[in-house]
Amino acid sequence: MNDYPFRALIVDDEVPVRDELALLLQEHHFMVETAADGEEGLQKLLTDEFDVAVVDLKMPKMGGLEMIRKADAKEIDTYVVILTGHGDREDAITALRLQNTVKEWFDKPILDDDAFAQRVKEVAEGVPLDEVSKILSKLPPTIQV
Amino acid sequence: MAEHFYLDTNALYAFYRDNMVSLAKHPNYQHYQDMKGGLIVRRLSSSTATIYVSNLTYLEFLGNLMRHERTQRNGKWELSRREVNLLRERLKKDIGTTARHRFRLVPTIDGVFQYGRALMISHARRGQCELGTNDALHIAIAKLMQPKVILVTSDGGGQRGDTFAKMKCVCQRIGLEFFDPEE
Amino acid sequence: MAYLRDTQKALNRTEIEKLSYLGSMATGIAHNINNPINGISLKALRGLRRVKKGDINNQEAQEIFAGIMHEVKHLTSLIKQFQAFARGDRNKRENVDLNDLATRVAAYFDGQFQSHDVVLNLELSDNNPQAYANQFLVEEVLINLVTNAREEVEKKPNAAVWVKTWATLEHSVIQVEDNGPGVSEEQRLFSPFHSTKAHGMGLGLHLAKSALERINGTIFYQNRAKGGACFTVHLLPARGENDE
Repeated sequence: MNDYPFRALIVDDEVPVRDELALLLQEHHFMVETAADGEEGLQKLLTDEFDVAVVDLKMPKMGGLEMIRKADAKEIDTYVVILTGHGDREDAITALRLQNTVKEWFDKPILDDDAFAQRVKEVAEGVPLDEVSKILSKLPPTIQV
Repeated sequence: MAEHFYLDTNALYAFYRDNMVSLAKHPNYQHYQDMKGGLIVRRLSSSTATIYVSNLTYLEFLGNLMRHERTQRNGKWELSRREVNLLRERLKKDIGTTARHRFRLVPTIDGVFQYGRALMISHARRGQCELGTNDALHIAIAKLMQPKVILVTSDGGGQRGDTFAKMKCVCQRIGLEFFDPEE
Repeated sequence: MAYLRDTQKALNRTEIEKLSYLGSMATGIAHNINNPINGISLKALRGLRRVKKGDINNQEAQEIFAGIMHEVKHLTSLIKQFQAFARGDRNKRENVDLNDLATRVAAYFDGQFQSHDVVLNLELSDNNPQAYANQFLVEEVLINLVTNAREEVEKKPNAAVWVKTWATLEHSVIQVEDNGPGVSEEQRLFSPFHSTKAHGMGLGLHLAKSALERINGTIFYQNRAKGGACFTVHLLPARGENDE
């Protein structure tokens, strides 16, 4: 089945950030792919193979926001966690509000790796199946079509 | 051997409602316990299974949600807007055409309606199976699609027991593998 | 008494100039500091994870610490540059290699330009132009011009900035061009408090001009032929040993 492991795409132009976050998520049982700029990230996103994308906002060639918007335009609605840290917090907040695939943001440098990984996992999972079950349990056990 | 399953609307509903998540995640089916929904999906828990749904399944599921959102019971809406949106998000994450999707969407098949008519004509007459339109369509899709699939439905905790039998009736006649938990 | 007053005035002016350039440098520094700090943070966190699990082997520990030291060295070098720049004697005059200076400043801006999607082009003369000037002062002016240029072009497509050096018989020259909107109010460009920017570095060009004049240099503006701004700095050519 495809519940486990989750697949993450890390898009960041800084090599140590890419490599370390990849290691971190792999330790949390993610399958990880990386991209060094928005263009490469977009190509990979368009395969629709990822449960979550971790995206840096400021990158050469194509920034994070533009990449997310372009993916969205092609109906790829992978949930996104954005990374901020170049004095672009306002952009992050705009992204959160306007782009409904953006579910969370983290400032760089990341100071709590566990919290970060945990949150990425939650975003990758989406609405927990337990919650879905709870909601539907209020309804009759079969569907009258 | 890799097995392929096709879920009709009630099977998909039972999956989400009766919390068959644990089955989906853990290949060890011995830990499975009888679910309220009555659908035992031991084989679904195998990690090599691919589970399909059709656009019909998806549409009927959504339609059902919307109907509950529109309906009141005892002065309260059966489903709130927020709940419907959460469910929609879950479906969007789960249903698609790539390997990461829990349920693979079957591409539209030519000849589904034609085959459905054929089913009606050949198997739904007096003395044959009691076949409804929706069931006919699901059976048609399951029969026509590639790869070969096993049709899965749910008897809804025994409440839909007779429909279960009806579908089984037709499937046996046309040689479509039918997932019966009792076997 | 008058002599004392003049010296004091000269000192104050230098301090003001220094402070205003430090401001624009600070933003660049902040950006460059982030990168090594991100690396250090994540590597240290990895080390902590391993240690908490009792899962650390020698090789990985070495890799982590070596990686951290690498970033620390990078940071140290940045900070030293900043300190040297802040403390540098701006009264001394000496031969300054303009190509070296331009290369140094360009490297300093590398990360910033990349993350704002602006191309920085260096067109350095093969004749290795040398100027008789104050190194820190010229560096300040160049930093100021390059920062301005980047800010003028950054959101535009194909944004580019050029830094050129060359020498003529009379001058050693540094020029900064951009393909931005250019400047409309040329007359007021070098007057104090002229600023078209929201975060006013209004003193910048004015101070640049007066600082350069102190070392017998000049700065002037032209519209770039293909559109954009062009600032040219003329400096005295280097003094050979015979000239002393």
